[in-house]
Amino acid sequence: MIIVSPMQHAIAGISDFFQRSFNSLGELKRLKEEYEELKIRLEEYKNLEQDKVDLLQENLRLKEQLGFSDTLGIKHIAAEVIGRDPNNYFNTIIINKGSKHGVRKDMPVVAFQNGLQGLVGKVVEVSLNTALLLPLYDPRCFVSARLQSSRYEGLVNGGGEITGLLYMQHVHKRSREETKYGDFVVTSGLMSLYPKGITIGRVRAIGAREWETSLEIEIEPIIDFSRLEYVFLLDTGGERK
Amino acid sequence: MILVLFIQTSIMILFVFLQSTILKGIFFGITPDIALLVLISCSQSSGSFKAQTSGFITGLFEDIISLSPLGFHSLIKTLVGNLFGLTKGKIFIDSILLQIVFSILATIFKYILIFILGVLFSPLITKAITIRAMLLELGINALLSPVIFFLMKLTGLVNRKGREML
Repeated sequence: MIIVSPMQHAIAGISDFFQRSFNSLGELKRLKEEYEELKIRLEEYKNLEQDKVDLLQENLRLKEQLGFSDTLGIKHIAAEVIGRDPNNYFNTIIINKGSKHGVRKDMPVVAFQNGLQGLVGKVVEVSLNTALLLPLYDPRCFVSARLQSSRYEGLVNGGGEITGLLYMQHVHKRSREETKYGDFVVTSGLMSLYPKGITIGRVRAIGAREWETSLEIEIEPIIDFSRLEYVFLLDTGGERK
Repeated sequence: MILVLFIQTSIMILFVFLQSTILKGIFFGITPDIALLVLISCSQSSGSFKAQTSGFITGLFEDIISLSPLGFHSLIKTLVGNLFGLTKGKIFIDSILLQIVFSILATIFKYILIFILGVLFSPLITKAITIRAMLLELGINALLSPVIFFLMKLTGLVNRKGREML
């Protein structure tokens, strides 16, 4: 017994060691599986977190637009920009609202950016669920406008480039002394589709040639068309809110 | 034949939609005309008739989603398809250099047609075109052409020698 018992202890110890090692291997395998599973779950949570951040940002943007929408004072339809012209020589903007939502041809379109309301253009084609807009920067778009401080009138026309300038033509030469850089240009409302007083842009340069009777004013648009997301279509024929 | 026409046209229309959304102004504010590259790649292997038919249908879609006069893009794409389809069996655009040359020629031809249509119908169409935009589109189309030609070969519509497969 005295001789056998230490041996039994030793054998039991060795077998215990091997058993624990074996169990550890099994546990390691299980832990690895759990680790992989947790890694996948963490990835899912990361995606969820990103979705949450995106949703919060979208919510903020929509709240901001909603706040602006309340200040409009004219019956309007809110829409989202869903596409643009597939080429580089036409300047179409496609929105997600159509005749089904009450959109009509020639409705003026405005947007809000950096806390300012600015003219975007007008509706030129309407289908059931979408509509095409002719933006201000298109050379085919003409808007009757007025210099906000001096009240001189002119005709605003686009230069064709999405990030480019607008041009105000046929402005009386007398306005040269009263016009300052940074002055606001607004819609005049005269014989126009556009309601009076919507901001178009700011004066950036004044071109005055001696032999010409009118000025050509370069205007920086209020709206950055390259990051336009939401627009409001004004129902000028509709009731006041 | 109808299957080839259907696949070609579907791919081009898909690219037109991509150009109006995620590809809009992707390179320095310029949109590449990938539908045009697909058209010249297909016209080279399927000949004038199929190319001008799929070009016409794709152009019609472009006309619908753009503010161009109806028939503007369809005429351009039909003529490009017709012209480049004439090279079927005569020139095989296997080399990258030829693919680039073809894409440049197609883009230049497209702009010549735009200017002619602009003069005939409305000068305001061409007013929006700047030299910078034109040159950038030319360069981007040239750079993308080997990729598009390669992808078109993968679809099985065009084989290594530029001959029709289906």
